[in-house]
Amino acid sequence: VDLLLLYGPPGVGKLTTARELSRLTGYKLFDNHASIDVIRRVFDFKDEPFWPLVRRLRRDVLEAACAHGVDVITTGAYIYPDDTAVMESGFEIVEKYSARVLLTHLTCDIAELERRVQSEGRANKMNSLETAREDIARHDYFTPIPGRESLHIDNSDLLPEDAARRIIEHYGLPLLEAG
Amino acid sequence: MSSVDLVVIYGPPGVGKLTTARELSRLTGYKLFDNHASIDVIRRVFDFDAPPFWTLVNRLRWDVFEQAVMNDVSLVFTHVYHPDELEAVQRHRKLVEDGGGRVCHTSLRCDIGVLVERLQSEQRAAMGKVTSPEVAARLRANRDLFALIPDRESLIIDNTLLEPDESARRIIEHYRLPLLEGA
Repeated sequence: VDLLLLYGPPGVGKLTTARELSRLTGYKLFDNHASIDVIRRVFDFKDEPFWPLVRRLRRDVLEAACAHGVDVITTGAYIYPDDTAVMESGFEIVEKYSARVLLTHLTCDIAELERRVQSEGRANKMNSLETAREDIARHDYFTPIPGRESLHIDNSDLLPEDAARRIIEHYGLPLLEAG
Repeated sequence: MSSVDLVVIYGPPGVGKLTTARELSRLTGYKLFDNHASIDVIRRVFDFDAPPFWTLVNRLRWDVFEQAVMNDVSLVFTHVYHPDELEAVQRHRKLVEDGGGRVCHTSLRCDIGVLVERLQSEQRAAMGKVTSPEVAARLRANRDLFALIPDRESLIIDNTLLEPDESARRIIEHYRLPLLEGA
């Protein structure tokens, strides 16, 4: 069973690429907003239980997917080095089920990132240039997760489908018929 | 100890649980955590009939209720109650009550003919909810979907002739829920 993680800065195109990947492979898409949106029904980002509930839901769903042989694509904004321990403990849980953890680090150049952050279709997501600049200045989204192989894709000049096909090729993922 | 309310609106598919719950949430400011919130997120990965499906849904509900009680957040929850689910209902109720919270049950029902009409309404299909005539037929045969949750009082509301706003106000009055200013 495969667990694919697409990570990179907010706005880089993780969800769009993950959707393409899901369409081409038939793998289930459990992106980071799936869990965030349901918990936001009840709690706000700044509430103490918010992130523990989100993390717990992600872990439960991804663990169950691996335990039941369901291939999943997930997305997340990994921050170096703060998020390393949480990520690593998540990987260890799914690897107990002999899942392959397949990492893809998506980046693009800053000018392009700033353009994408302001694009439409980012309702509920970070979408102001000022907030995004501040966020990118404070957090390191460009260093890959240490100690593991990540496929690095700079998608500044790539369509989501092209990025998805590179991931498929690199990791030898099965294509759905007509994909 | 907490003083939170978990308002549970239950009844057959199509009776108007979500619409009533939305009104109730608007009037009271209670957070809306309807059954589809937890179902839809798990359906991203699992089908209804996959073994982990209901385990994951119920675990998510448990976690959210637990944190709501601990953080004094009152909720409006909706679900289709069937006697098979009594155990999960009891566990969730115990969680809230042990934390000092209150569970306010409302059983929503209406005429079968009206229910079938509502099941076929357009809005439902758009939301990925139950619409098929087959389900409607099963509803006619299976009165269990009108069963009352045992051991606690349920406010019974027949909303055949009621607007969602009126049902919501009945619940508020019966359980003396706080009204938001201007509501």
